[in-house]
Amino acid sequence: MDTNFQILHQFLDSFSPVGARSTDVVTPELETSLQSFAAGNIEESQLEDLSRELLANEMAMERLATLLKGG
Amino acid sequence: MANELDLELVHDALAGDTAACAKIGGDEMCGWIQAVLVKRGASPTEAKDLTADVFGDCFGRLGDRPPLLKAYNGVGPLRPFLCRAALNRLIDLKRRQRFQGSLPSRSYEDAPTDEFDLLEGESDPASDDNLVNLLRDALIHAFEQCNARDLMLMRLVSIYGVRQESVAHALGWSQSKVSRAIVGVMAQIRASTIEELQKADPWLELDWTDFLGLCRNSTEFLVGISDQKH
Repeated sequence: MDTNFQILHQFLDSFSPVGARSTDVVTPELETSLQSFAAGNIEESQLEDLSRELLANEMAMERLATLLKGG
Repeated sequence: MANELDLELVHDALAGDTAACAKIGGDEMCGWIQAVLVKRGASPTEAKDLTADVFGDCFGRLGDRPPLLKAYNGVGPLRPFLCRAALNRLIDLKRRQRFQGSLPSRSYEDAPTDEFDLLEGESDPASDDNLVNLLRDALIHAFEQCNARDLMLMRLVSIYGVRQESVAHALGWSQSKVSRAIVGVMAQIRASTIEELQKADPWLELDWTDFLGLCRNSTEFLVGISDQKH
């Protein structure tokens, strides 16, 4: 794990403007994409858009992490 | 708590203990803060004046604000707490100097705002922290410059604890490719952040280690969160 990145993440999490924070909703379509990712079925061309969506959605990141950990 | 001695010293000073006050405002602490300010871009005179201001604020001698020391929560050591306060004042001073002798030239009748309106307000303790705003804006800018995929992978691995091997397997990559992606994104964050800081405040001397330390201290002192890695 990169502890420097953790410091930066914690800082931004504490001080980012409220409007810039996560929307925290995992839609059924997004859930399907996350499961495809975890199963190794995501296309490289889909990855950029999905990544942007994930960076704006903390709950989706958590869900993907759980799936990748085998949950 | 890791900084119990500092917290006790501050409590004693606020209660009027002259020995505690003398220890906090003594030559050693003053010299250290002045040296930090000079290292960050202050002139020796500015460093001396700002340090005196900070120690005045510590005990509420200046203005009608509560003593600065009342904000000390003991989550981090006292020295970096006072350093943050001094650095905030230095940023404020340098930004005010930028406006001296160059008043906005636009017509006040036509313009709803001018440059002074764009300076930080005083209403919210977090929003009027010059240092936090400077660090945050540089960091947000840097994150925006990053490749979204690589940044997402960095978050999966560093924040959510997903193994690089699992990410590599899902993407059909080698583990070294995942590793290169997250090392690369960190290097880009570092370079873009320092570049943005230089654009915002060219006088400010901050290296990456300083930046990380200030981010950590800001979270500790303003939010009360510690990563316990001093």
